[in-house]
Amino acid sequence: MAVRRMLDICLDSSDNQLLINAILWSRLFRKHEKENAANPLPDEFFKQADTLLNQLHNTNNSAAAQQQMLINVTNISKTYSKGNFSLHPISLALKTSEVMGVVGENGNGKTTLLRCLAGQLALDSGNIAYIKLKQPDFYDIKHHVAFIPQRIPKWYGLLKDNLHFSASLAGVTGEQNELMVAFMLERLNLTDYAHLTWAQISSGYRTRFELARILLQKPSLLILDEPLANLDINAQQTILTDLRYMAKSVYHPMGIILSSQQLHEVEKVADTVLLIKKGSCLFRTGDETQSTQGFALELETTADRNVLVEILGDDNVQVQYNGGFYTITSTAYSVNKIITDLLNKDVPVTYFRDITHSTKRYF
Amino acid sequence: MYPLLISGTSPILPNVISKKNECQAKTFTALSKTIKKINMHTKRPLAPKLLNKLDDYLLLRQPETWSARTHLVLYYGLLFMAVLAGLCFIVPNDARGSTPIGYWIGFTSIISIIAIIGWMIFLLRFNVFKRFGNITALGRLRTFFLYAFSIATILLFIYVPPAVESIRANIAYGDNEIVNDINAINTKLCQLEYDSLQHDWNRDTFLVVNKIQTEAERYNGDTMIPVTHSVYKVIDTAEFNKRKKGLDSMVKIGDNLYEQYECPNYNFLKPSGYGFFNYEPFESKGILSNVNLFDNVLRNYKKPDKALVSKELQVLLSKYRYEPNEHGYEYESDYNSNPSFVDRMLKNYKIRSVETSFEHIINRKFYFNQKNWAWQIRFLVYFTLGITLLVFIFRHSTTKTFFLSLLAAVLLTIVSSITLAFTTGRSESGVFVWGIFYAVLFAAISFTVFASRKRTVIAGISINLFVLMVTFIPLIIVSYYYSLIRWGSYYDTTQLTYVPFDYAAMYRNIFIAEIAGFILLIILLPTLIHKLYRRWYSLPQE
Repeated sequence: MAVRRMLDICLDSSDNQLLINAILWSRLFRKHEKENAANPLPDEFFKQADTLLNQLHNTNNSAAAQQQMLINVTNISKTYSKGNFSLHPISLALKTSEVMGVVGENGNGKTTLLRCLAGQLALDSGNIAYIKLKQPDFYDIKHHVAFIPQRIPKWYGLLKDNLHFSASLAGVTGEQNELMVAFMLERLNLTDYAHLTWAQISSGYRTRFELARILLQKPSLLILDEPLANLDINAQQTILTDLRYMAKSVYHPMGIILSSQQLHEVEKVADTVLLIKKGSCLFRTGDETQSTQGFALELETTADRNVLVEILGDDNVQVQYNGGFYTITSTAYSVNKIITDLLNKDVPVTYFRDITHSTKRYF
Repeated sequence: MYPLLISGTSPILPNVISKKNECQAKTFTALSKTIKKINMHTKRPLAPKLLNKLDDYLLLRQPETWSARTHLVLYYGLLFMAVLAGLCFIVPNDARGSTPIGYWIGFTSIISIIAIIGWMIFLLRFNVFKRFGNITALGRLRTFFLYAFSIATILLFIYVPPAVESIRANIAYGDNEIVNDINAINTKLCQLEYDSLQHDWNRDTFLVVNKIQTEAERYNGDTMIPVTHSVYKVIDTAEFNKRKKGLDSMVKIGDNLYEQYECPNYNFLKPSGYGFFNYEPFESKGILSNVNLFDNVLRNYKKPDKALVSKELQVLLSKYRYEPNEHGYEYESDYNSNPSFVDRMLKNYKIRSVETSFEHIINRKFYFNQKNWAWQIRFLVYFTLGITLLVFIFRHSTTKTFFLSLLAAVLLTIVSSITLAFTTGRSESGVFVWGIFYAVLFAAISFTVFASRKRTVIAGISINLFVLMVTFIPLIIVSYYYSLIRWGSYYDTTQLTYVPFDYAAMYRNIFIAEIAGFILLIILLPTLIHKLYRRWYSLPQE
């Protein structure tokens, strides 16, 4: 994490030399991880880290990303000519440096919403204003907005060539191209795989390479459809954290909209989370009118439902078994009180989560 | 693996810190090279370092040029052509024998097809037009030319074996050598067979009438022949002038009465050639005519040393005689019970075999003569254009739209043909009218994308077909014009005049239309076509 953050900060410094140093330093780290992971990092590594930090300190680059409105969506709706599904009017707005999560069950309109935002699907009604673009045509919009679908189209040729090619097409040419590709490979821990082909890497790495490719094109708005679907738990956390930091990059701040089934992971990094159900926005985090309807928690225990009802035995508390865990909601008691009561009665609690402000309570 | 990291005790940063001010630029370059060494590993078989460097350079700076792979096609194409040329030189190939060029062309055509498929596989890996990157209008035009250049390079494979064969024939037999040997053989045959040859010239008498003949006078049945009287034929002045050009000799024996003479044939050896590679360009190089031979040998005949002439003739004939060229039943005397003297003489000297050898040599020498260039260049240009346009529209449209475009083209052709078949009138003009109608229709539908908010398949098909047709629009219009003119330019029965159709002007104007078509395409590619595809592909889908 420290290495990745160092890379981010060096990129934000806009000092190419510093960035190259950071890339080589990061490679030193990865080399050690690969060859001597059991041993502690050598002193040289820390010495160079200090040097880098001193250099960063001397750059006096204290610029911070200014938040700008990116996209303003007003009552967009979409009905497919073939099929019964309709996306009902939805409005939203997003600024640079913000991350928005879109969650919901399968077939409820997440992908449709994202594709509409990316300019891939024609709208039936409503309007999308891409604030940074003046009188844009659809080519400008698609250059401005990057969309990563759940099923990423196959890449052909060497992976590194694809990255260089995309960066070059986006206007990042010459040495800057080499540098940015090297940075992106290092930042997403892909350097060792750059000389492989699409068929030689796992689906998780494919997602990361696609992300690297898209980021090299420097979009203002990044839309990801189920980016976590092919990632392991660690990779999910890493990608989400990376996305969070990338959105807030000083070098290239952007807005990110992503859909996922991993509600809790998304909620951790997203500024706003939309819950889409049957084509409508059922709930969005930060909406006080909906979140104050009561407290809610998820609980996993070996205790029987009757025991829980007996302990909590109050009309203001509802206990619902969801196959594996219980969802307990109450308009009167706080989550802390409920969990304290259960623990006081020696109920074995193996897992619990406060979902009062989470979209999870609507599933 | 990481040069700067593993060399020295303090691999990266000390340099940067301690000597930052004095060698900052050097350090940056060194570090940049390190990044490059790690990132760029382009290695291609049989490719020099320069090519790999060029490949890297283009990838980082010219993505459109890089993705077209023209530099690789050019290098490997030239390499293959060099190998192919070497192979063609090594393979035994007697210029006197029948040419195996058909096999070579078949072989190189297959290689070209494979090479084009291979190139397209590489080409399809990286599509600059579907990435919504910084593609300029001129970039699109440049890419089109790069595609065309790549395809033309690959198609040039087909021209290598004929070129090598032609060079070999030209090295083995010089132009003057061929002319001198043909003349020498014919002369010696005349010298040796003087006694048996026909010396009298053929004679014909005709009366010239100073008027243009009526159709009834001019024609007898379907064939245009002069009306024959018992002693002489009556011809008009036009026919007279025409005859005058081709006669060996003519004597005026009355006011309007003429006698024409035609020299008998003494060109016993006259390689004629066949197909496209004809003998015409060679005739102007000094081949003796029948009259020349008559004047040189027969008019003032001096009896030669027959033994010596015969020996010299045999040397010449054996120089060109080639066993595989000798076939049975090639002389009239083989199947005619009463052959002429000339036929018996030809068989006696085995002239046909020698003649075939000459034909083979001359054909090889003139594969690339001026007359053949016209169709050879057209073949290369139109084949290149066709494939380039197909590749170009494939790169710009979705797979579904591309194949639907091809299907639409085939269906429209069938429907139009059936419609033409069932309508009366001039079918030739009808074809061009349909062509103009479709060009206007496709252009009109294509323009709708500027007002549309959705990407439709119909618009995509129209743009594709419009792009396919653009080059041919001037040609269609000119052809339509001439199809009308030609119908009105036959014999004028009211004025009793024949207005000859000016074919030279037609060919010239068709050529101009072809050039205009290419210019139109070049103008429209970075302007209208660029905007049409840019707009259509970026539109949202239904």
